[in-house]
Amino acid sequence: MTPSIRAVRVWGRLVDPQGRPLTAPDEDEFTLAVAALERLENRSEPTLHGVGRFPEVFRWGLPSALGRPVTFCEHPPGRAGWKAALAEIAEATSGLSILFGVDGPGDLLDPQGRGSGYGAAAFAVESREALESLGPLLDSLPDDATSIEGAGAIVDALRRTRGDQARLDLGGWDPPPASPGTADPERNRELELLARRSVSEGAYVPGARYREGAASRWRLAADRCSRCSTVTFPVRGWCRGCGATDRLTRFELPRSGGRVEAVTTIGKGGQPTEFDPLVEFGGAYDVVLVELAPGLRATLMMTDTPTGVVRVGDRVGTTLRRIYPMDGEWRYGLKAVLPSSPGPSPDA
Amino acid sequence: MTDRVPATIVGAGHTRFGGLTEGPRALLRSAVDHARESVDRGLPEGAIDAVFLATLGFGGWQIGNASAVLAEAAGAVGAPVTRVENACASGGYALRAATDAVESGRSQLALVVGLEKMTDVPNARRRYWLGVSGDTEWERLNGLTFAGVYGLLASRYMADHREAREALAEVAVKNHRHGLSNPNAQFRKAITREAVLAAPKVADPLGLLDCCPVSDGAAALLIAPADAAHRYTDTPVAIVGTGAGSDFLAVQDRPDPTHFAATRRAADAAFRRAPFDRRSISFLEVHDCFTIAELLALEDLGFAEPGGAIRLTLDGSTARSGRWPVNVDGGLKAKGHPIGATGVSQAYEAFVQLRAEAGERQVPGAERALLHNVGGSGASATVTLLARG
Repeated sequence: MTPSIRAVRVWGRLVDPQGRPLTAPDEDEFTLAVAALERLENRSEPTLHGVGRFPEVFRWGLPSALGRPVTFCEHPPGRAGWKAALAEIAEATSGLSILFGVDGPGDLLDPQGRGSGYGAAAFAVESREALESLGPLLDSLPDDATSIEGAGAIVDALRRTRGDQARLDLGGWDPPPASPGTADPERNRELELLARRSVSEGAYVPGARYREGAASRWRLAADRCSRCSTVTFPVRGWCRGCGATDRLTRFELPRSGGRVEAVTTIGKGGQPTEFDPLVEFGGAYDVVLVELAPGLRATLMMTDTPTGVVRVGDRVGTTLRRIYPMDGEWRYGLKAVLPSSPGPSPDA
Repeated sequence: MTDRVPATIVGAGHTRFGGLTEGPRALLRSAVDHARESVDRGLPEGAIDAVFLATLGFGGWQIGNASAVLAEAAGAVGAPVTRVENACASGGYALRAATDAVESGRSQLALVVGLEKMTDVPNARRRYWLGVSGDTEWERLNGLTFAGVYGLLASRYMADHREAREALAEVAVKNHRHGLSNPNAQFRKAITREAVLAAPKVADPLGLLDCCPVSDGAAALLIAPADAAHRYTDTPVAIVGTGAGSDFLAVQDRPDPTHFAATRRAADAAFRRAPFDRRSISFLEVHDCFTIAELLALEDLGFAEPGGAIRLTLDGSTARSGRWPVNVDGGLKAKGHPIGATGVSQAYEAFVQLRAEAGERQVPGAERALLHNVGGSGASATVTLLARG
């Protein structure tokens, strides 16, 4: 059989068996899934399929973060679930498919759960035939495996049997990110519980407005006005130059980032209360004002970089991360990273 | 505007600023009583026909209809009370609204009261409220309170100008020195540049001593038409120009993120109306919520070129004995910053200075004052010009 599974790549990071941190404090299964899928996305028009059970944020958030639809196969994870999902996806699609699984706080908080951290795994499959051929690779998977373990088993088997470029970070550990903080499982559990108890009061961004803002906060969506040529970022629904509402064309500023115009390090006590758990678990953090394009700026937190390192004039890139918990759930947004920072490095 | 009657301040009151045991009601009452007592010929019962309240409503105490609380405390139940909220510029905007009411002839005696009670809420609630007036989505929910926003501005200013850090420290040193002679000041304690530089960082490059404190306090003004001022006093203080401006809420949305266009607009508008220019200002009360804010204010108000505030600060020009004395009452930095009270408090200081009643902190020969009040990180600002009556 000609190998029709091309460019299989898997990306994920969990807490290792010794409890060593493998995720930055602001990574979780959602940000890891986004990162993994973006890596596989530089190919033409794939369909995206999540296999397993997913927290609510995936349903609206993943399409928002990736700019394309995502389907979810809500089978219980494990051997039977993965096999059923493969059959279902093979039935529904014919072209390039990307399948992914995740593991995260849903398992983390469940005393019966198998997960010990956050992770995501994804791989790309070129055809229906190739999809159908994957089933036997799951035979050794326990029936109570997690979603990511199903994806991981497929990738591991592919690597063993076909010499593909697959790599799953469940055993081949990357060094921990340089940012302060911890992914100690106990601490993760505490942080997660704290986040779930977070309740907003007074002024805040309600969930509906947060989701509305995701276009600009996650993908740097901007509007160009065909009447006066002004670019409005973040998007407002009108042109900041002339006020027009009907002459706007949506586009996205490059997420490769821009130049640091200003930087501050927020020490303990200088943070808004929403950031208390982050400071408690991760210490001080930097916030930068970045010029993304002439006259267009974004205020972004730094990540994967020790505080006090980034300077005015430096170039920074962007990556989607957790920002703060509110009303019991995590909120996400782009953060800035120094290009040289030892952040996520999925495929060697 | 020929049919408009100039407005004058005929009375002013002030509580101590700081961590006080008194609650909001007592502070309102105390500031109003002090203002009444300051009226040389006394205030007839029922004379106040319009009241303006400036407050953010810190800590959530009486979120709605706080105006009614003031009406009772001021003994003015029945009079219309208008609440003005523009974050830290609430006081300046309330003063402007009262001035308009008097100039237009609608009010014959307006009372302006600014209030904030910030220290009786737990630390977590206080920090919650300290950031509610900035851009919520892009600033606060990227981890910034105002200290952080001003920290960004300071980092840019320091990258652009030499000796900026020394000048920032000197702003704190100078304003603490000024505060020594203000009995209402929260801090009456001299500090050194070394102490400012060594203080724990809150929003690097800004440290604890670059930040104004959390304060309780209230201030009050009585405003009358110039042609009726003699009923109350022989030495009214004339409101000769008011200006106000707004800007994009988030710093990132402004064409030039390192300067406050709202301040520039407010200053230009105020001087357009005034019969004098910047050169004849005797002293300035500017909004120094953080040390960087005083430097930016001097530049945006037109008293220095970009970066020029550094020299004015380091060569002593902004000290009480200098060419442009700035924040002779200690400023927000040493006097304290009860949010809604600040803009009103600046006018109180001008009232006593221009009547030569400021005692040991008196600016010799003070004739004309500029007051500058900023909301948050520059989304709103007022400039008020006052002159000896």
